[in-house]
Amino acid sequence: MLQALINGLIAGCGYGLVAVGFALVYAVFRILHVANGGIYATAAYVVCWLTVDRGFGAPAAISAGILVGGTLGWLVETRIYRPLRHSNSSSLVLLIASLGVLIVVQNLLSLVFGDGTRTLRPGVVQSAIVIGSLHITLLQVAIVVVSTLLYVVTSTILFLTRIGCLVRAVADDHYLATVVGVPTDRVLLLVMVGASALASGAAILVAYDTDLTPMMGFEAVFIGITATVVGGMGSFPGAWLGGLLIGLARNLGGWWLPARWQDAVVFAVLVVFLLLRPQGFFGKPLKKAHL
Amino acid sequence: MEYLLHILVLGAVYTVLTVSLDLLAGRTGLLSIAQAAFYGIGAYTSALLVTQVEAPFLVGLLAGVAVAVLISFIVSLPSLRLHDDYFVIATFGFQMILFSIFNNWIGLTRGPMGIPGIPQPVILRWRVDTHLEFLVLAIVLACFAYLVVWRITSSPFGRALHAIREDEVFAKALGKNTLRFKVTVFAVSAALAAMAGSLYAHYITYIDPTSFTVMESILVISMVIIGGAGSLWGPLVGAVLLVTLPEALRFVGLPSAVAANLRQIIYGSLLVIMMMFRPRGLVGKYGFSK
Repeated sequence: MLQALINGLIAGCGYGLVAVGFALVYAVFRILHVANGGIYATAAYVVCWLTVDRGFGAPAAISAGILVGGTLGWLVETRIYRPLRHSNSSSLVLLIASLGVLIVVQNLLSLVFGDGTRTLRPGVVQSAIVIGSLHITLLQVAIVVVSTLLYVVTSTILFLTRIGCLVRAVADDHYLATVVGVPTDRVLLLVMVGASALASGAAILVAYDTDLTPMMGFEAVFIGITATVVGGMGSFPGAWLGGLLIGLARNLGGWWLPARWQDAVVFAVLVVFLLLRPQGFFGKPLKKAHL
Repeated sequence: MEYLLHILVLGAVYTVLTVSLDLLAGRTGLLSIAQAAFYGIGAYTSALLVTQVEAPFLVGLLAGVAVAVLISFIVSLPSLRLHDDYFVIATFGFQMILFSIFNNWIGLTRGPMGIPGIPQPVILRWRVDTHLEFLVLAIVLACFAYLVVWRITSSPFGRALHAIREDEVFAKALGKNTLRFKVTVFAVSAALAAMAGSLYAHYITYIDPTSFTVMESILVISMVIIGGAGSLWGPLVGAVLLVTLPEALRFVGLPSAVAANLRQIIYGSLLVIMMMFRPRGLVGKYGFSK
């Protein structure tokens, strides 16, 4: 039981980071950026390819993965989202285009790397810290530390710096921000690249903990969306907590139910929240008049 | 020849699906990702009844439709209180839960092993067992779906749906009970999708959960969008195009694994390209842009 709790929290740290990237884009762009799942999976595969197939060291590979993820985010924003935004397309149009990107990227990955599962872990047995009956691997400790650190750094930038202030201004109202002289397109580009880098970081952490499949991007999208809804659409700490909650739900759900129902548990959480509290823990109540 | 007929039957099955989704997405502006789930409900209900209690084809088909309509209320009553992105997310959640049930409730659906040996349909005395006869049946059902949608959209009910798509608050201000309209149209759409599912199950004679994944929903969405949402011929064009186009890849002689990925890549790129340059689809009028 305690072990499931700990595992849930650790998995939740990874999911939380996925969700934070997702929530960041939703808060600023007001679109469901599902293409982020493609960026996420690509970063993990780049790291896997460089370390396992090419024999590069982990630090170089991880930087390359984040770089590739950021570049992809830059491409998606400048080539797809920006032109669509400028032609006043609705959020559904952007969502469909984003979905197209996810499908293309995911299939390119499985074309290049195969459909099979790949692993990043160096060996089968890992050194673990044993406290009583609890096993925590050093890798898992690293996941918790890195994920918390990235979350704290992102929040600091967002809430305490001038750039963060510009980002929040754009998130509040694109037009108003443009009118008072905020370079909206540049801020949006920055957010997109940042969110892509966050997603890449999360992907690499999760890839070290579990394994890689071309479908991992889709999983990240499920989890990102659910965590964002649970935490409150657009709420930053909410997304983080939402990720933790999903990690717990999956692992504790696995305690009572056979493991194959794990995903159903996540979606049951999603549906329950949508029905009973669509604004999540920290979101603003949905406006009735905006129906 | 048999092969050509097979492609045409699949084209007709997908036309029923695209017409059903177009009623929701194109005509009413509700983008649902749960269409494959209702397709699956139709297929499973029908297949189980026919194989387990040896019910006739039409009973299976009608039962599939009935179950889909019932479940559509469970999905739509709560989901339809939500809007835009939230509605999309809610239908996505239901799609994933229903797929999970198809895949994991082994006692009922046999899970990933699927249901084999679904008999070919017998309607009254007519035994449908050649590709040609199947094509006739499929075209009849596709025409029926078209008729339903045409009847709905050309009635006052259809004009209310149009109003909801363009401006829901305005429709409400005119005293329309928009929730009731949306729940009804969702049920009709689910019923048509279930009909397609039942037909598919009896045609392929074997079903397993992989035919009813979220990717299948996305494929149907792609068909509607590429063909043209909210138009008469859009769903037909989209379904036929996206069924035949990948078949052309077969003749290039690619290994099947590569071809499967390549097909998805084509769908994905088409989605992006259409959204960038022609959001209203090949023959459509309405482009999701308010």
